[in-house]
Amino acid sequence: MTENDSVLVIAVFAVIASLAAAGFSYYAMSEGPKVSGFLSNTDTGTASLTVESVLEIEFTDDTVAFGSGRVATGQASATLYTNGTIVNGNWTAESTGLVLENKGNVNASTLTLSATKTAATLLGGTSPQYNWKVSSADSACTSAISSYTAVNSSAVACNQFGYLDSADTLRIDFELVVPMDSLKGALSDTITATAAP
Amino acid sequence: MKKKSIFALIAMAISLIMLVNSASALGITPAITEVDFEPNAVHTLIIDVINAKEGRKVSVYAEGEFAQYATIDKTDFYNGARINVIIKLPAEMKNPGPNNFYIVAAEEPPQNVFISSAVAVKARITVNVPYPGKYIDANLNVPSGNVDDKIPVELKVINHGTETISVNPIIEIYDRSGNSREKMEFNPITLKTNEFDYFRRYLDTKGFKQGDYVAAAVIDYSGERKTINQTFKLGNLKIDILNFTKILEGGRINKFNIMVKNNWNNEVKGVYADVSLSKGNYTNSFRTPSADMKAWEEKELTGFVDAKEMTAGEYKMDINLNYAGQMTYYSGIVTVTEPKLFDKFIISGVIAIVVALLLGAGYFFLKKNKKPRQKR
Repeated sequence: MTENDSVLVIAVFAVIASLAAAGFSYYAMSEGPKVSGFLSNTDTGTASLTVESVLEIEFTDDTVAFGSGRVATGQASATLYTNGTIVNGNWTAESTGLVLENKGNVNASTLTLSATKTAATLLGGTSPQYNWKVSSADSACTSAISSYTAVNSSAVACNQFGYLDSADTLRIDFELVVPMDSLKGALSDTITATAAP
Repeated sequence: MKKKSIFALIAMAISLIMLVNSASALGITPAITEVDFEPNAVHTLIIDVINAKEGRKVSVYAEGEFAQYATIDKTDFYNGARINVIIKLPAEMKNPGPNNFYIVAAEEPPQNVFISSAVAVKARITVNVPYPGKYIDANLNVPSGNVDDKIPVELKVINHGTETISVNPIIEIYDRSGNSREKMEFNPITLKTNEFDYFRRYLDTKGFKQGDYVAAAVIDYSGERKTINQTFKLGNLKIDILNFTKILEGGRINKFNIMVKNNWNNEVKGVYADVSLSKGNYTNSFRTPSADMKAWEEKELTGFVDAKEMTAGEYKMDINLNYAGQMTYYSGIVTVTEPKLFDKFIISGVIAIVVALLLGAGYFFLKKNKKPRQKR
């Protein structure tokens, strides 16, 4: 057997082996489970995100300063408003009141205002008045105290105090009637705003 | 006397100052928490009190009928804090449904000012007590969208009853004439007490017309039925012309306003109008500045028309409203009036008379005060 014959024999055996292997592969593929890159079942996943609710309020204008003053001579009383009007007195005009802003990301379903004193305990004298009212230029809330009402220990200022930047601010104005025979010296009170979601 | 006056001033001085050294602010988060009732269960909630004014003491307490079940680990602190609220539920609660109580954070006002202001905020904790038997709450959410689009439809069902139920909902979409346009069915599911699940599907609005629609969810749950509806709008990329200026004054430059409405559920940018006024062989054209319009917005476009050479009478008006590669055309009649010369004559005349009077008065004053010459 020459060298060429040997190579021929090896080549024939290689062809037979290849054909056999191909046959075995075909048989395995036809009988066994098929695996391909195509997704034949669908599945679902979930993505979740939690955004926390924040309730935050701030007095952005927390000062009403009338300064020092007195009732004009000969007058029974003086009236002070936080809209810039002083009647029968020489106190400094105050034109902005208190301004409250909802800085959170939820509405306050209830906003309550409270004071620790009344007209009698804050000002004293004959027929004093200590009134407040609430308004909202950007419609943050429709107030239940839309006209001057006597300050008391707890009053609902509005329901649904909004949080959107376009409507999240309200103003508290005061009307004080200081009688000639009022209390003198440094007077004090605390106005508390309480917000609930 | 002077001393008495000073004393009187001091005695009668009243300082009415509602003053706080600095802005009062306070926040609480989460502001809303829901807890499902289970007999004798213990829940720990983490609540943050934030943005407290530096140096201002904050007090925290529980408030409400069910506050007795809550214990707070920190009740007084400065500058904000994270607090743990431990809720120990009783063996039973008599009132089914939502039971609320509050965690209150309150500033203490400063003591050394005349009148101070303070804020307090409350976090609401809702304990959901199951109703006896079968009871569900459901929320249907279908946002407004556009025609030829896909809108997500979502129904959430929560079992707030004491019994395990099988839930089988159907959502149907109706147009404003009451015709059913789409019906969505879902595989029934089982919900135990306090469990919830979502039913979601996309609504293909191909072939729908612009307008108002109603989504109605009918939820059958173990022999009971609940129905909830929600309205939504489908928009179309079309901007309508609602109104326009109909009268112009000849002889001057006039404002020309066009009121338009965006019927698309998205913003449309760069909306402008080309306006043409013609009578016989005369044509006057101008373009308005462009404007961006929000979804469903009505807006006024304003241009200026030079009517100095326009004679009085009726002009044919053509408006081509351009937006997003599309156009809306509208035609109408605009009336040009005679220029208001008579008014101008009156005003000019009055001014002339006033000036003449002032000059005359000034001459008379000067002449009267002129010193006579001294005779030598």
